[in-house]
Amino acid sequence: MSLGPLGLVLSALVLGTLVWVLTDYGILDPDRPSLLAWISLIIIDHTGYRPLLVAVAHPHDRSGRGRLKFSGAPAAETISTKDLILPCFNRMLLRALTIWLLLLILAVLNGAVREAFIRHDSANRQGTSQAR
Amino acid sequence: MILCAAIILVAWFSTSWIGPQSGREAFLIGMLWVVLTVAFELLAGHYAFGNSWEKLIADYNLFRGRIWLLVFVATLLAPLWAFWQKHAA
Repeated sequence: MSLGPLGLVLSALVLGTLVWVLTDYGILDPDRPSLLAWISLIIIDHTGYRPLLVAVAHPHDRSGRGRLKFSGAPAAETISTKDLILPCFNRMLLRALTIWLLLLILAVLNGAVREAFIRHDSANRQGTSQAR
Repeated sequence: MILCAAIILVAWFSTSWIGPQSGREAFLIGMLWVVLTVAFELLAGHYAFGNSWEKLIADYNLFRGRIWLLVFVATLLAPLWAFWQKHAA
């Protein structure tokens, strides 16, 4: 695992939140999972868990790379995830992107909480003025 | 301001994990975050949420009391600041 335990947890959080937000806004259609598959591939590529990445990217490949991926043998390391997707990405960039997604989630949460406070405040003011 | 503090906190904890090797790389990380955030805010705000460009741009007007730019300044400089702090210690 190139990102370590923290990277795995962050990636899982990011993937889950991203899929949830995209589905909630209707951008991601659960009946057409191709976009979900791409998002999953990118997140799995973050983790650097190559056997899982190859398994997702080539589910029907029963020979060659397909066998290598489950064996756990060092030969699996000969398959570069960078050759499969996103060839220009390196580890630092992927980690920076992961943290940016976390910051984005924070910003969205911050906006939602602020909106809720404003609504609550205006509702209180209306209630006070009606009581008078 | 709370968001700025959260960004600085996240940058503080994550910069060593991201692993920039120099101040230049740390600055580039901040720049990447800012570019992605501006792009996301403008594109998603306009095309996904239907806000007008005027409304989106108005949030950047510091002279009208909008302090959203501070978030970008914090985002830009937080990784560099965290890098300097960690390497100074």
